[in-house]
Amino acid sequence: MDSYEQPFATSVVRDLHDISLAEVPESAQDSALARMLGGGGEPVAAFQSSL
Amino acid sequence: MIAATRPFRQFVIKVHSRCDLACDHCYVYQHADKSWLRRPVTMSDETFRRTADRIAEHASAHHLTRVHVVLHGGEPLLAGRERLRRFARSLRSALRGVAELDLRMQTNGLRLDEEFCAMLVEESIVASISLDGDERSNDRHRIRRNGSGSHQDAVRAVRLLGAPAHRSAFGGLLCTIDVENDPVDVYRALADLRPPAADFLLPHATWEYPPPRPGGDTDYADWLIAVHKQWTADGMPMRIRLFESISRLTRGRGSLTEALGLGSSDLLVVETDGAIEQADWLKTAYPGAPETGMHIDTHRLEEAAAHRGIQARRAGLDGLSPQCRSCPVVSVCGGGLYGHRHRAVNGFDNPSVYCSDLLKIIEYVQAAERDETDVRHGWHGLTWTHFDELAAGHGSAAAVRSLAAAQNSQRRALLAAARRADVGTGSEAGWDAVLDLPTAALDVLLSEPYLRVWALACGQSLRGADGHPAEAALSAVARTGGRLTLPVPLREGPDGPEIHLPGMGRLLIGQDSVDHRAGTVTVTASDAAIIVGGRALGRERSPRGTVWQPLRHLYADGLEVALDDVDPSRDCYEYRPLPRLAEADFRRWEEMFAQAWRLIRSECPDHARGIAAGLVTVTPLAPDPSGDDVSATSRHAFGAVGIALPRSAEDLAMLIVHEYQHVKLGAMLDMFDLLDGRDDRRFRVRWRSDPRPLNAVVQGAYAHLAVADVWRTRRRRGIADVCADLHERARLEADKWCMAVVDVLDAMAETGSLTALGRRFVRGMRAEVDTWAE
Ligand code: SF4
Repeated sequence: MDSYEQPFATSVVRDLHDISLAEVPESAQDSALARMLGGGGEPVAAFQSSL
Repeated sequence: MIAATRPFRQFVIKVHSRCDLACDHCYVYQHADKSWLRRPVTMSDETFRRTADRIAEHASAHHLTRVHVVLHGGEPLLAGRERLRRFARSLRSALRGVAELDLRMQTNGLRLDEEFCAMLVEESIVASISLDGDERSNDRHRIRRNGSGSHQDAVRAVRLLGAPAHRSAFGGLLCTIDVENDPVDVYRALADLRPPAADFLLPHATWEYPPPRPGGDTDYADWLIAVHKQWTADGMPMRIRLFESISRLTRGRGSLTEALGLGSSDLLVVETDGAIEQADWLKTAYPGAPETGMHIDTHRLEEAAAHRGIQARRAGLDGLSPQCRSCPVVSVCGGGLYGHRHRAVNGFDNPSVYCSDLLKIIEYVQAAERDETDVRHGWHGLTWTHFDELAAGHGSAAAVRSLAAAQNSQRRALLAAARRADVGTGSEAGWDAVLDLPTAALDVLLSEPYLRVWALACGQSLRGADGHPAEAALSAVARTGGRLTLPVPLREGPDGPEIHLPGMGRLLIGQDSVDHRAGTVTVTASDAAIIVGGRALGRERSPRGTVWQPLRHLYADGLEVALDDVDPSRDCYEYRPLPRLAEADFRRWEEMFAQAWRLIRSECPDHARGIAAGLVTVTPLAPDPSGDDVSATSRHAFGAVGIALPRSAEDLAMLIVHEYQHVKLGAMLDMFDLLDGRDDRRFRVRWRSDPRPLNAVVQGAYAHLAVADVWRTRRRRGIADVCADLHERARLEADKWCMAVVDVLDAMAETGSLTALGRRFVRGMRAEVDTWAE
């Protein structure tokens, strides 16, 4: 069953339009790099008894 | 299609079967199963080596790019530091050249010391520590055999592991909920230790042994809601796996924990004696529940996939109880952790014993995120109208502009990452100029299709930025007004030393020029011109010893596209780009492109709209000696396509439409997970002779949806033009590609490997084909 309560399909891309280049958070840089390299693919639904 | 068992990607290895704590909520020692009593205390080197070989064999057979291994117990630290080091090395050596290894460990931390932490860092083992909160909360259960609490030692271990020297080996904190504990106290105690991540576990329970509920039916949800409130009020200082999973699943992405979601289990456990088992928390259901009767000496891991218990946990929605199947949050909850569904009379065919809690916490987190406008507005997205337009294979100008906006943010993030990674390479002046660019100039820079190619290489430290930042800043200023002067280091291009001004052209620097000997050129951007040696390039004769090659454009009925045969980053396709075209070749491109664009506009206006809104660049590729068409896209060059000039304008129109499908879908895949990423099967498709992985199948289906569409209209045109040959060929081609796409879409829908968004996307493609039949 799909779940589309939101009026919008929200993506995983942070909107950085209003952020100057010097202020792009490192977390946004890292996640963009990780997504582009994609080697690891989607994280796994991990064994719950470990993190 | 090639049927194959789904591989396992996670392996929990029990390296030590005893513990130096005696927590009274532990599922290994305090529940019905006593199998640990007959196992070796520590896994031997030999058993570990054979386990590692089995994992590598499995990863190789299934082309896994990455496997996840958790060293677990008992208490894994009791296996000893050097033994764990040997284990890590043995695993890495078995997987070398096969798959990347994500190696983790879950520990109570009591034995962690400086040397242990150093070993974890050296061997890239990421460890998480079990901690149930503040001292009173933690020591309610996490006690030694003599009854003394473990909080102080555990906190000491967390601080040690979280120190800068070891932080790369710190995974986070795992906390089992006790509703008698104060949720905010527990949350604060964890957050104060600044872990990168945390998770809260529901205590193990079944319908026979339900969890304590002193306050009522939804004690656990209420407890978690109190944590969520504090966590959001604090600005979400750490990741919390449970909340993040609810959020991801709600958006159609994959879960981060097996305790939620409809994804099928991909986890195997290897016990200290080498026995292959299912997730060991099944022990809480009944004695022996996780056993498979298999052993790493005698069984390949694939064989475990056929085990009834593992099959049962891979059935997705169909494997759930009737109540779950009709539940409004089932796509997020997935019936909760499998073990929590057990009841002696009917096994696992029940909702979770935590059903009322799961429903409440899921609905709470979803509602909180809906109300949290900051979160929603901080992310790119597509309206459902645009999403569905793109799924149908087309996409309006507005839909494509939404894709471009997200690409712009990604390029911005990558440019920032490139700058961060590019230290000490002498590009500082260029980077400073990029940072100083006014908004309009930065936007021009970020609209360059090939920017991501070099920024990505630089962001990964694969190469220095060299002249890129200075060139990019100068070009952006020249195109938007303003003035900037910078020294630009020369790059060695295929035709000798050069500088390249993206979106404008390149300047070849002859061997005998002054600049060539200096290694840099001083360039000024001013009044919409680039000035070198006092000459405005393109307006005046170039300085002696240099040749200016401006970027040329193709114009056709209102469409303007750059024919980029100079950008050094255009070599990003699987085919070789052509060197700078001679003027006569450029003219052939101009002519055929104009004809092709007229055809696209008349034959497939739905595709033309999206192409007009987003096609920025065409790069000429080298033709294939066989005469076959050559065309390509790069996921990193949104807005660009690579094409070898084909025989006819008809062929060129088809190649542009085909490749532009990949451009749009690549941008969609940057934004959304349409596949769960776990399916490594290969599928037969009619457009290739070799079986293809699922992501390539989706790309191929999307491109051939458009190919079939173009042939459909040509078939109609064939009738109108009374051109029997074209009509017959178009009919055959349209039928062929239509059937090929339908076959693949139906097969994809059955894989169980599409996310909720992926299912909607594939349904959209299928619905479009269905309209053709009408
Ligand atoms: S909330 Fe309850 S009924 Fe719904 S899926 Fe979860 S366990 Fe099943």
